[in-house]
Amino acid sequence: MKKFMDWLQDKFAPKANAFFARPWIAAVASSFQVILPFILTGSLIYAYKVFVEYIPGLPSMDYVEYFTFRMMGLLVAYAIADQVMDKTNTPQYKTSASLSALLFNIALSHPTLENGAWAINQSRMGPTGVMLGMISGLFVAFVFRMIAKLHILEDNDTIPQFVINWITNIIPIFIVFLFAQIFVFQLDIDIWPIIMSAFNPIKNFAESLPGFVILMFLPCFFYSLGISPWVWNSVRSPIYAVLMDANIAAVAAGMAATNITTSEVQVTSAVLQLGGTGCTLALVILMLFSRAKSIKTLGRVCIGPAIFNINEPVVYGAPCAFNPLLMIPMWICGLVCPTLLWIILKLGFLPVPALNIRIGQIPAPLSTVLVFGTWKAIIVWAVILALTLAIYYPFFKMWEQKTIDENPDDLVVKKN
Amino acid sequence: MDNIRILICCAAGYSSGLLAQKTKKAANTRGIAINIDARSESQAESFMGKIDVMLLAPHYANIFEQFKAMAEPYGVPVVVIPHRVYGLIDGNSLLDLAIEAVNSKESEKEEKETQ
Repeated sequence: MKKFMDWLQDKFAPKANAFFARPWIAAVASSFQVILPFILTGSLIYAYKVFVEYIPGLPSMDYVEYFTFRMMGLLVAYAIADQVMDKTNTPQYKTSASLSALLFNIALSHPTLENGAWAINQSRMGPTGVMLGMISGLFVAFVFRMIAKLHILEDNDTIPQFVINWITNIIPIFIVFLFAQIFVFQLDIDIWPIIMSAFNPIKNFAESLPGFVILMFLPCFFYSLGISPWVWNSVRSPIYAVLMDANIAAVAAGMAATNITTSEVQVTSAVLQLGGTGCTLALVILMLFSRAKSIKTLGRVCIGPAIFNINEPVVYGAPCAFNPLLMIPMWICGLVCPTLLWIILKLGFLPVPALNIRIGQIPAPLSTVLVFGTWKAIIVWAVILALTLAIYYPFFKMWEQKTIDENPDDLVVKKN
Repeated sequence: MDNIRILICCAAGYSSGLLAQKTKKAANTRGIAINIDARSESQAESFMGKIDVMLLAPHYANIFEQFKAMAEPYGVPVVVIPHRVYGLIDGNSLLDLAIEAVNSKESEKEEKETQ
């Protein structure tokens, strides 16, 4: 075990860190942070719809959602180009690149022009279109990067700067839309069916037990190596978005939602992220009652954020990251809790949610009830809390003892 | 000294937001004028030129070099927040860290000018 931990820290972690620091990887991950305000605005409408169910006669706000959450693919295209330009340190191309990506995404969705009216398929712009958005954003970013790398006219002192700026921007924009002209409109190539069929195996895997667990475990595992769980949005968000979109469409068509691997189940409900990635609420609760003063103090600092499922303080404060004693229970939680919830959902104990609420900071069990729409969710929350307390307890005790051994003054003297 | 303008970056500005609030409190208690903002690291670029120091959450230590390169032309120092300070949401230490970074940048500049 010691050998494995050493290998993890000295060999694996630096490699993983370097991998996630690569500008293109970091850019795709960050792009989901860029669009977050729009996703949250869309989520508000779903929260509002919960009220509409109980108070009929409230006005519809559907169009707010149509132009936020239901434009997710379009937003992703913009955000990826924006972030690649930032992370590759060519901000001078940022605006042109991101606007091109947005427009190119519309072109790549294969719209048709008839009698002066564009027919754009709405679902291709929306959550299901996130993959299309990523492709559009990456392609446009690639073209702009190529041009930026050529450093055209950079050391020229005879042409005014603004003329150079025109030229360097016009070339990539021209290439991007010339590509659309040829491939999408002249050769009439529609990549949508190709993307959708390529996505099928991914979808099937994500819905299976191993897929469901891995999507939760990987962020948890890498978090214990100090890598932000947010980078996994680049993998998880497209999957979540497509599966939830299908659920919402199924319910709207009078059928039952069937996809369980959604952001709402895995993130928002907060049962798999109880206190944050790695279910650290249990750890923070144990810390509050610690015999070691330093741990108790840290527990008091961390409990507030933990209630709102924010756990950077405890992960870096305890720390859990790079601390074998606390990494292991984090991993166990990352494996056991998703397995349990997958079984619970497959047995039909909780209904499969069909709503878009992507606010991960709602305290459980409120978030759990909101997502699953039934009071039974509280039972699941309680079971998970008890389970995670049991998982963390033995490791917590060892860590506490070690802390006291290292600094005997740390011990809280019990008053008789 | 004028207001020190500080930007803290994490993933979505949640955990850094808590730290920013604590730092503001610490600054008020110590009578130091600061402007502090907590944002997603994805927004950092648009703050360049409007801040004196950028502090990066420990879980983004791996992209420190990119942010350093981004901030370089603006003369903005970039510092990764130590685990302990981030974990304890220690506003006081963060304030010290920010002031130190700004001061060392200033003296660096002066050195260059005198040379």
